[in-house]
Amino acid sequence: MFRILIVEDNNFFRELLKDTLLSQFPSLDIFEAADGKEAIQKVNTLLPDLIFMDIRLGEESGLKIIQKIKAKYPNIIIAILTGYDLPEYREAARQYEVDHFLTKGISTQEDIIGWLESILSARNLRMGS
Amino acid sequence: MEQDTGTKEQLLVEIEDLRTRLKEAEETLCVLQRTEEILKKFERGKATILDATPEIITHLTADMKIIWANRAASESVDLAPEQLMGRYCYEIWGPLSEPCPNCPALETVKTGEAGEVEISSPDRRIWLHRSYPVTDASGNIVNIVATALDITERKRTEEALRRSENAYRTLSENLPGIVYRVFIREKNRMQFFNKMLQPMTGYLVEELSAGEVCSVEPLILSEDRAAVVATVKCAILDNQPFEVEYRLRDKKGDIRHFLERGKPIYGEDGKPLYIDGVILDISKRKLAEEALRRSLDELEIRVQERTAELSKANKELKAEIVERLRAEKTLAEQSRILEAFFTSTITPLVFLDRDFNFVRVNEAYARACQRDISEFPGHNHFEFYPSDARAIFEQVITTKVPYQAVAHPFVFPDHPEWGTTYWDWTLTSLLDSKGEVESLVFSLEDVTERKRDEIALQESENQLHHLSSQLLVAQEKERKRIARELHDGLQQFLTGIKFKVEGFLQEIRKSGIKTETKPLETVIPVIQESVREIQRIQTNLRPAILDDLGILRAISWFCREYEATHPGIHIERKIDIQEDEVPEPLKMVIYRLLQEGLTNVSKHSRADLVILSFRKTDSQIELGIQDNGQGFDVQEALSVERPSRGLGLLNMRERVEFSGGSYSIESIKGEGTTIRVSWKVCAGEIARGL
Repeated sequence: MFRILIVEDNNFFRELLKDTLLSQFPSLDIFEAADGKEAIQKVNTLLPDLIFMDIRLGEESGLKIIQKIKAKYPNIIIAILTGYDLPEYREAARQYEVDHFLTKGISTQEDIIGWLESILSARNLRMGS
Repeated sequence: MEQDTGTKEQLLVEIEDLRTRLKEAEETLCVLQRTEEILKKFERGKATILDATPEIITHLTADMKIIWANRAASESVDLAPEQLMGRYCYEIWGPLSEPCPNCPALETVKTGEAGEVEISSPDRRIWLHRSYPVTDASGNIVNIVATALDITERKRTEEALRRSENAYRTLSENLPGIVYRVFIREKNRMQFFNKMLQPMTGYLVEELSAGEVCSVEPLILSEDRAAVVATVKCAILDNQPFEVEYRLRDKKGDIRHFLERGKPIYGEDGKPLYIDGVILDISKRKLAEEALRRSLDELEIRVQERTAELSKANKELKAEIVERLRAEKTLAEQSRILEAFFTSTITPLVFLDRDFNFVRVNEAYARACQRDISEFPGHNHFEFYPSDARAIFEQVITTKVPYQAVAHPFVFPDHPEWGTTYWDWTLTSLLDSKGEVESLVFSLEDVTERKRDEIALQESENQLHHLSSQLLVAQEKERKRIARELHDGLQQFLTGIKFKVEGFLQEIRKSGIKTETKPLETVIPVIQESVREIQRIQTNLRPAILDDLGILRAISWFCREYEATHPGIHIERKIDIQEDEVPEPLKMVIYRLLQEGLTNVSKHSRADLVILSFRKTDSQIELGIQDNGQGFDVQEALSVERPSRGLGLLNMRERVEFSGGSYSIESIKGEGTTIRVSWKVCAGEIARGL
């Protein structure tokens, strides 16, 4: 089962993203975390395949959490959620080995679903093969 | 017959002969008589002559008896001539009993020769005794003629002359000069009377050649020679003594100074015979004169200098006297003024002795202390008013350097209800003639009201400062809160709405229901634009990138945006610091400084280049914003007349100061502006930030 962890401190957006993903991929196991500490804990226990990580979790930096996760679980796919599609953000994402860059309010649902579908297809292909 | 005849004739002859003889005898007798008469005449004449002479003349027998004596002889012994006759001469003039042993007459008797001898008489007179023999026809000595002449004066004269000659000779020989005689009629032949020619000229007499006036003349320097010759010739013509100075080159070639004095001597024919003179070497005198002249010149100069100095000193002294009189007058006037000032001034004044005892206080001081003026003398200042200032007072005594206290706090022990009072005071030492501290002048000014106002003002300013700081903190917090609200609230909701709309459209497309979705689709870009607007507002309030990615990427973003907005300005970035080296609280301050600084550049500087430096050294973090713009007068900009830029600059400075940093701005008109900010980084790093 493909496990997704959504790390987002805004409850409304976290729930909305979860609903959106489930509406498209009902079979997914989707978990939630509202801060960095919870995120690390759930990563360690659930070992998700993919993480949607908000770049800012209150006073915490999403990038710092990504750094910690990637250090321990380099194969987990991570998409970062930012408010700004700026070169500095993309460069930071690259620096922290983020796999996908999503801009809140700008990226469309299709962008997200399309990217997730491509991930799942690739996983299925690998699993099938 | 013939015999008779012969005898007769013989007799006749004899008679005739007798007659002839008689006649001759008569003639002879006649002659004799005449001769006798002549002789008598002569004898009388001779006696007269012999009596006239002052010389003693006697006619003596061979045994010295006086036959005749002249008047001088008789007068010499005060006897008549007759009284001398027949007496021995030595009895008369001795008086002796026998002839004088050295009588020349004895020798004449013996030898028949005339004799002469000088004999001194007991009365110290000198006599010249001469004796002459008187002989008969046979040449036998029959008598003696003795003479005696008093030659005392002559001898004395001769002696004087001899001594004079000796003296002259000695003088001549010892004279430090050449004594000479020039024989004018013998081609100016020169005779020297001493041996000084060679010592003085180096020449021997034989080496000299004749000159116009003497044989020394050719040795005289040509410059002096004509004058010497002229002087000597004039002297000869005028028969006058002369004196002339000249220089002479001696045999060695050295120049010597000579002084010559001479006198022409004329002959009985009225023509010059010779010149007698002396030549003196005055070289030493000349040298001495020259030295003296130089000395005199020098003395003259010194006298002139000294006179000038004295004149100057005199003038100065006079001026000083005038000045002193004026000063005394002024001093007296000042004393009166000072006394009036001391008694009437509102400044409290105190005179203390060196042990801090009150000597005198003025009314103002007594009033300030609320005591009577008579209470102070005889008491010690610190007895009345013990205070921590005693050490300062003692320091003034030691160092003699005045001390000024500003707003020094003091509580009157006798008036604690007045609370803490504040005093500006000065303590000055007065020195005696030996430079020792004699007394102290203590002047005070009550600044309690001013100080209390200052304290109140300071407190007010501190509060204002604090408030200002709090305001900035609150502003930043509020901005952050609003930005967060916008991000977490509105932006999330809009994003959610967009997701919902997108989901709804997705479902419609999947269901195959034919319906008009266009109006709904147009909502999506509106929502996206709304999100961007919210982000813009949020960024203006507090750029999310600062919180999301840190200061270095925030700077990168801001500079990029700035250059895009102001295409004429290029920012050269010199970043030499790591993100984690920047204390978190400082990041917002740095961002705001950059924002303010670059806003000023674009607004005022007309620069086309900004050098932005941000680096960390061992001890501090440094931020520099340097532009190449037109620069400005910083003081003017900070004045109240230019509030817009001034407020920006003040705002920057406040942010830096509140964050514990140092701020400086340097601007040169025409060359640009440089803002430098630094923060010390210690182990604890920077805690504050805005």
